[in-house]
Amino acid sequence: MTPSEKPANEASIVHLHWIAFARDIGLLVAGVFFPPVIVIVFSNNLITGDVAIAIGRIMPLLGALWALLVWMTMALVWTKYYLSLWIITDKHVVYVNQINLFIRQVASWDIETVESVSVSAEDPLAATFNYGTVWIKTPEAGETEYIVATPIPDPNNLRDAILSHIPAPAAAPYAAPTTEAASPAPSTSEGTSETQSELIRSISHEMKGHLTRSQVTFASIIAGDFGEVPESLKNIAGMALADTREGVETVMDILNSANLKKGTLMIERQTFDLLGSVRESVAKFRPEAAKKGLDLRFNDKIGSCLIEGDRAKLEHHVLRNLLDNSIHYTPKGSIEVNLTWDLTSATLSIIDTGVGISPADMSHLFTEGGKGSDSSRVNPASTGYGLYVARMVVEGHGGKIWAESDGPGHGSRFYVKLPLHP
Amino acid sequence: MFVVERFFFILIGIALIAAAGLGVAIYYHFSKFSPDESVTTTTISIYGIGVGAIALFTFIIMILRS
Repeated sequence: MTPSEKPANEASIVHLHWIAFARDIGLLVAGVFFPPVIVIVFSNNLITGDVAIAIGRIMPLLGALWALLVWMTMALVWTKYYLSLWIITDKHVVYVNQINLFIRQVASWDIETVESVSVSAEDPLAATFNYGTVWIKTPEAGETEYIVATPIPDPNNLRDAILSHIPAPAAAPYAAPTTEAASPAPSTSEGTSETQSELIRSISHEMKGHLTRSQVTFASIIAGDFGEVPESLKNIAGMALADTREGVETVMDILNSANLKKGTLMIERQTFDLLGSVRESVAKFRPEAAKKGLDLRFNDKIGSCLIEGDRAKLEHHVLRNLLDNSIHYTPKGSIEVNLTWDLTSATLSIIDTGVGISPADMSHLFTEGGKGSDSSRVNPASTGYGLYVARMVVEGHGGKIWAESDGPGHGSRFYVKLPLHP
Repeated sequence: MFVVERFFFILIGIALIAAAGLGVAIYYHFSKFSPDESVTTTTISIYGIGVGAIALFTFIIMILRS
């Protein structure tokens, strides 16, 4: 049994800090109790005679009604507070958000996709009562967004609970190849290939464990978790963090390709504006293109191009990969991005003036581990898995991805065709 | 009994029925979603005592005024 087939266990449940309940109740008391108190104080002095007697008779009833409403509201606040929680297992991070009595939101992330976890305490009360905010970074959350858990009691514990479940070196994932080796040796090339894939996947798991821990350490140094550090050290930690993130992304590509082959990568469909996604992705890559002196153009349009699909995966594995590749493989010149759509489908094109693709490379461009002959020279960090994952994600959406080139030195044209939201 | 008082008794009666409904809804949520079973009993007991106390208070006033 491989690690991914194990049932989830070792759950730790983390409730919100009691300050969340106290804060809501405090607001309730301030908002609900002060008005009647003020009315009672003033009415005693200003209202006399029969009116005062009448008010005196209904005041206990008014008080009872008021107390009942406050009591009901307190019960609702308690329900919201107590039923909102975080569950950490060795496979998932689950966030249950009880928005109100009738709306309950449950979100979960594969713990292997967690890139970094950091902790912050925003106000003086936080240190006194030992609560804080936990910031969790996953590829699905985007480049700059985090999943935020707040206010959490003893936030370092939640961080450690998550980190303890990220595959560690020599932990369960590493055991997989040993298990394979103990079984009868595969006699066919298919069996060998499967063993090799499993080995690559296991090593990738191990590498991801190392890299994620390094990433957390560098992020903590920059955030000042270990105290004030000199600016020069912060800069070095910043560079190391950027390098480590790139490493994590590379490993994630390999792991995703393994998951795709096993059919375990989930496509979560939602309706979203592809035009907005392309616009945002191009904006993210502008600084990198400018650094190389490339002219990255997006022929923006008015309107929206609604498609039904997994926004995070399309942005991360398709748009990011294609734009990243076009920048890496274009030493000089320009990159032009276009998005067109009709009644049934949308077509994205990324046209560059880069090194181009030879007919021999074209045949295995979108295959697993398929790299161009120029890859090692132009882009040493290339794993050959990026375009394979992109193809699998696009095909998972019922779309098509292909490339065209007039040969080496004549640039490349990448196209993605996706069906529109019906 | 004043008309206004009668109106308030009716209002509190409606609110008590709503409070009882809310109690059932909260019990359902806790028994289904709470990770700790004992919290369900404690929460509903405390909530029930509060609502019961207010109901009793209203009932005594109603007896005294009628």
